[in-house]
Amino acid sequence: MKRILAIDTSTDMSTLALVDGDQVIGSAEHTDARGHVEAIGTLFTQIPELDRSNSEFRIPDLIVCGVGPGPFTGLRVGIAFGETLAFAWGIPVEGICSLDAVAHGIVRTEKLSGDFVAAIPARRGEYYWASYTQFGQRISGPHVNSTEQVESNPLPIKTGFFPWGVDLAHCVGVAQELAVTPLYLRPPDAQPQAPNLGVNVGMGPHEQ
Amino acid sequence: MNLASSTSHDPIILGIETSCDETGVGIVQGRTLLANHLASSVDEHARFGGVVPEVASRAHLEAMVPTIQQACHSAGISVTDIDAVAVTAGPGLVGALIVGVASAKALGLALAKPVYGVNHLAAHVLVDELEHGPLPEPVVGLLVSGGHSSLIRVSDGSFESLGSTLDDAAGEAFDKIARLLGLPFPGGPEIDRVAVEGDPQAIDFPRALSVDPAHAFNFSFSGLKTAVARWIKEQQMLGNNISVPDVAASVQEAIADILTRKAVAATMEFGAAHLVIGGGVAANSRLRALAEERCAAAGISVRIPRPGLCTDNGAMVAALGSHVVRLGAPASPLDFPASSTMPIAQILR
Ligand SMILES: [Zn+2]
Repeated sequence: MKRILAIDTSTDMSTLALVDGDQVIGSAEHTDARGHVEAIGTLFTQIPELDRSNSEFRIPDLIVCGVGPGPFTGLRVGIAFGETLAFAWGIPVEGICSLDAVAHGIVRTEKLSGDFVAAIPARRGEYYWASYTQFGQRISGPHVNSTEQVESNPLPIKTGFFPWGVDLAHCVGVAQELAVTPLYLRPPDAQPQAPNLGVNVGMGPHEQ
Repeated sequence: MNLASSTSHDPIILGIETSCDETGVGIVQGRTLLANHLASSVDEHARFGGVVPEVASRAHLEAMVPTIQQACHSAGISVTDIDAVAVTAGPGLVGALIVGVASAKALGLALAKPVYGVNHLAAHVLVDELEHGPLPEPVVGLLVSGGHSSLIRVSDGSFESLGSTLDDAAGEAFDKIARLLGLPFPGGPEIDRVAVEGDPQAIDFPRALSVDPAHAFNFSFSGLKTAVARWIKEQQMLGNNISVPDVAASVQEAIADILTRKAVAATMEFGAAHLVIGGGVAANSRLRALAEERCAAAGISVRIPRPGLCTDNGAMVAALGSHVVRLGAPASPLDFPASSTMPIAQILR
């Protein structure tokens, strides 16, 4: 069986899960919107089978990182952590859209009668969202839009769900495999500056 | 090289630096440098005229693992050979620091090796050990870069701030004045280059030297920037042609004068016989020359690591990591944070 370590920090929740096929070997979560980098190391130690001195330890076969979308600073913690673990252990790492894991969890726990939207809060009153079939296959997205724009979607909107590590692990081989880089959806929030402040200066004696 | 003080029994420390716009990974054994790799996002910031935190954070994440890989490769070691991981825990840009801290924790946990979250400013001082051997104490450090201007005293193993900038960092002053002159970012190397053709005595820009003894070793550069802007405007209104090389040389003279005068005074006042200069601005040719001249006159030895160790890099973090391991300091707790304001008195989380 393939042993997978799944890591997601795309929401307020930092989550780790170690699964082997259908068996969940261990999982750990911590919820703190600004505490991902503090929590991640402790969460790792809460899964005893990841400790090299444990007789049950073995290097996983694959690491899967939730690549968002999500608030950038927290999101990068899980990806940096997962990529570095994979490098140190010499194993592959892949990315999965975190909303796919959210949708997987919704399909697992909710009674659904049709397609739906999975949405997680972004900053500034916006949502990251994507639409799914009732079996959890992504139809469109991921997008980032205002609450009104998301609500204008005719499909039922599911919020308040998280991309649990276990769901993320179970997305491997089912959901679309992505590069291990954040789904930023937006360029950095910065304005290029004019080359100078409008002070017009010659090159003096060296002017051409 | 200082091979005598390092043996094959010394632990191998991998250091990670991501506090600003350079992703650095260095590997040190004892006080011997084995590798120092850097991925810089400076070109991506140029069009913004300064470091954009989100741009820097994105670049760190992309460069992190490849830079670790390259450092291990040049050191001729496998990542499993490292004995401890050191990482800049602060001060710096939080979003940027977080990438390095997350990566360092992963490396430590994957390999079951201790992780040390260390102070960036202290690392700028300690890095000189890689070039010039053990640091004699007490010693004063002058740290000047785009992100910081600080005077630090190290004595009996403890670090203490003697002064820092009240407004712009020295490197920031170079950047802002370069922009006034239509020179590209980063401004320090540009001004240094253009100044070669200019007269440093051409314009007598003000030196903000505090008279308040309680703040004798603080710096302030915003007044200089304003003075330069005002001077340029006046010359334009008078219809005078402005010599960019003369302005650059005069500005550089003023900044080097302020920095070296305070650094030498601080070194003397605190009874230190040695001054270490670090940070990107330490690469400035006038600062180096003036520091050497004034230190020689004052009977102080000046230690300036080569430019590649002065600018932000991973080797400096590994050097400080090596130092704390030598002292037998306990590893940082697993939940240590990245801190934008980590005080110099705290060299280890
Ligand atoms: Zn620095």
